[in-house]
Amino acid sequence: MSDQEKYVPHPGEPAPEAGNEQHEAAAYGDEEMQIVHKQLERENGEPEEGFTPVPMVLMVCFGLLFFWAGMYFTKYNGDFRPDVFGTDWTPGGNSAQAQAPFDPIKRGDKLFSNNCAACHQPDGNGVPGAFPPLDGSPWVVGAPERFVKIVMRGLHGPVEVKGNTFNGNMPSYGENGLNWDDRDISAITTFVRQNWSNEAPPISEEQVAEIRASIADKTGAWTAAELLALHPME
Amino acid sequence: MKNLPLLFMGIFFCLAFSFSGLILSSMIQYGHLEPVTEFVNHPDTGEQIPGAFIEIGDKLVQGVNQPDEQTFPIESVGLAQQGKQTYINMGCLYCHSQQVRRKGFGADYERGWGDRQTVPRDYILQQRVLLGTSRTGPDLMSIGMRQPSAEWHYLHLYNPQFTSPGSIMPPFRFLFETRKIGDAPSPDALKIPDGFPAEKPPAGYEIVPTDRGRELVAYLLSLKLNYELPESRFSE
Amino acid sequence: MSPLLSFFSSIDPRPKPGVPLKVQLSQIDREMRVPIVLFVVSAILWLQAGTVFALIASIKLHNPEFLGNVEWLTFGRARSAHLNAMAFGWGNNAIFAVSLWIMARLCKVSVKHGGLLVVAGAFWNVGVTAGVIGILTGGLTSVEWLEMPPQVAPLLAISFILVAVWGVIMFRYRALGHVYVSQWYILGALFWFPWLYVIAQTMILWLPARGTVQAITNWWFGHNVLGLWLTPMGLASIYYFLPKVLGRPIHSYYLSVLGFWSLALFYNWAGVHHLIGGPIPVWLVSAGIVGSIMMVIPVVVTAINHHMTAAGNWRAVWCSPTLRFIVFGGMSYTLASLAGSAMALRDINVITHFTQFTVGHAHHGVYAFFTMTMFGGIYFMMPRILNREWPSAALIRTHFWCAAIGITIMLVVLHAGGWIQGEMMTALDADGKPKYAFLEIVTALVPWLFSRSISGMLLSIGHLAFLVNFFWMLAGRKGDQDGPTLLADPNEEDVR
Repeated sequence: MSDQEKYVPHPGEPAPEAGNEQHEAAAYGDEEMQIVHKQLERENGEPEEGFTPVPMVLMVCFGLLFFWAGMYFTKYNGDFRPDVFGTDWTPGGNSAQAQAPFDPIKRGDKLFSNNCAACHQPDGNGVPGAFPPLDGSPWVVGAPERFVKIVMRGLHGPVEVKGNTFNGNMPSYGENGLNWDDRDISAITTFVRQNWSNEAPPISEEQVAEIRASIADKTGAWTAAELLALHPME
Repeated sequence: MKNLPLLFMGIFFCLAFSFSGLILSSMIQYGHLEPVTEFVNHPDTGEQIPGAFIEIGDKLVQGVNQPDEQTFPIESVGLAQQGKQTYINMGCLYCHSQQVRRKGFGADYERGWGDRQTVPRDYILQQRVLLGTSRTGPDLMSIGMRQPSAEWHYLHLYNPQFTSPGSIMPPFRFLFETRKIGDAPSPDALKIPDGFPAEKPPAGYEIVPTDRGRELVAYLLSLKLNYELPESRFSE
Repeated sequence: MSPLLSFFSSIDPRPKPGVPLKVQLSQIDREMRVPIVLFVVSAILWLQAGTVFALIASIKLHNPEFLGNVEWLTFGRARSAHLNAMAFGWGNNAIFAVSLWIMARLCKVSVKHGGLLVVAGAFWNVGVTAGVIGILTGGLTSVEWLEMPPQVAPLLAISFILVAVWGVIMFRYRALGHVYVSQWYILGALFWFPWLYVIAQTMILWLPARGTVQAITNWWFGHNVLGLWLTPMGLASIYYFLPKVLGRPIHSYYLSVLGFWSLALFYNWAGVHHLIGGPIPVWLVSAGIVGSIMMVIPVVVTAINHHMTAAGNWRAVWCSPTLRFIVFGGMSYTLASLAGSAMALRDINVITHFTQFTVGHAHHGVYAFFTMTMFGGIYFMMPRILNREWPSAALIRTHFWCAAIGITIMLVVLHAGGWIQGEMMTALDADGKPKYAFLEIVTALVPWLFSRSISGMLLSIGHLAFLVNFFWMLAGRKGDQDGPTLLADPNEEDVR
């Protein structure tokens, strides 16, 4: 009798079960027969286990796996220190990395994509009606003082850029804002002045430091009118 | 495998093993960290030490804070604290993580999500830690530095397409209300971009954030990673 | 007889001696009818609710304006409602039904006072309903796998323990003799789950631990809901139904023992792999990785054991609704677990972490393995509980093919889309700048998310077929034929 025949009964007949099952069926009294559902009559006995041994090859593989696990954990446990977070740590090692030379354009690029592009957009064209463009904007490529001052204190209220008026609040990246140092402000302004179709000269760290000193007393954001009074549009 | 007490002992031991190995030992090892100054001193000699901990004999001892220096992290308070509730119950965490991986493991540093990796101490003052496991949207650990403009956040929450065309972030218009302009336009009324005429309020009306909207933006602006810790320095 | 004595004899679950096996089983089926029908009905209704939330969340991911102004269905809430309806509504009710029934049968004990089980089960469902409504109305906790507002936790914990105690009582009063592998898994899981749940609730929501200890607790719990709750129950079902329907013993007792203890020992360390690269000390991460890799042992062992049992009986597997689902589930268990171990390796995790790959993997384990197995169990159990046949083989076939094809599509698109997402996210150009802007990654992901919605619709059709067939059966519709409802004629030799 194949397994398959054992599994499926013929319609309308009790299942052709294995020998012991038939004995069991014969043992039912009439009343007990009533309460055994017909699904049960045809079903196999409760599951059992065979006792095939575990293949040796498998045990060897698992042994190797244990060995690997031990090696891995020994290598990457960071000496169980609470202040080791990377896999490259070695006892007593110094993780100081060699520093690449400073490149203002690279730094400015990073600062721009992380801090400016969300509003002024990666193509520097801004969002019409909400955020002014930087590409070709006289506020950017004109007098360095005007541009640096905006970055250092922010800009508040209406401003006209390339024939459109924007009314917004640019946040400050100077002392009353994100507090960038001279190097970063020089990098971001230089990058914006030389990216896309802009071709204005760079702004040096020294220039930034000078402007920073000159506006030390200024609190709060500029308005466009204030800036234009100080540095009229060319 | 027939003996209930023995089977039960095994079942108990297995979970107890990982419970003590992972959770109890974490509690003991870094469940009591305190805010520190950006550099700490040797507890005996008083000299500045390179990391947060120093080996004295066989023991790993935490350095002592430098006097009169600001300690970090700083607890978030007020509006920002309330805004975190909105962040939590809107489920922002399911698309935005708040953790920075070390430089060289993933591109977190290169994407400008933080200048250093975050470590356990960064989270010790948070009642609920929101590390997150999904970056369907960008990491927000330092969004307050990356995007300090409240105006941008309001526009982006109202309709992400305004500022990030193609984004799949849901709009949160229910954090705003359209109301009649009073004596003068509100300073924080939304300036809907020209490209979306259908979204502009009717003449004489303005769209302003509700209290929940204001709190949420205050929370986002408070997320900064602008300080160093003895165990995690800015990467260059 | 004194009243006290008669009370005790009324709850003594041991069968009267000398009753033949099938009469005992029949008695158990009859005694468990009411609670099991309650659990299965709730499970199936939760399955439908979970499917609706899943579709809403899935469509929102590629079409954010869809129901965009309905605050209580914003993406974060809809997906959490989906997860909780599925895990705690569908999953737990199905487990209560199938595992308690298997336990009762294997222990050969009669179930007295099943009414108490009904009360406990009813409270469980009240708790989950309150929890899901809580999520939608602003009580979402944003703790993964513990999203329900903490106020419902005591209700859930108490009703869970009331249900679980039945399993322990059954085991305690079992008929003497051999203890079968399914019983170990069920006993273990019934004990593990409340421990995990209570610790996680306490350390994250009631008395929050400091800093990222919360994160460790969260993933110790979250991963173990899968590893020490859904998985053991799924495996217990496979271990029961596979030999039961085929009528041949499980391949090897020794492999069963090895599989059980290695799972119990390693699985609960694996959860930390959700925090690789995160703000926890590296030794914890490495421990989690080792635990995840060592999971290869129980998985391979179980796969061999199941495969060797089923080998040579593929015709029977093809014909039996139960076995089709169970074998699909068993194969998915092997694949999902091996993929999970691989994903724990740092070099792979750095790509797959934070992407849709992880989402795909979660569905691989919870749907393709666990849910399919439970479907199979219910297809076997209900005819015996109700003393009726399934009314329609066509509906079972629809259910199977929609579920199998739907989940396969979903797994393919989420794994592929997630991998691409991860590669784009980490790709750097020669200058060390990210190669792709974030919005480019999002845009590239959208077609994959759209395909996922399509696969979700297939799954929904399958679930509807299941619902119709089940309630049809419950309403008294009997199958046309006398014998069992099969999916193919077992006497045809052509497709062997």
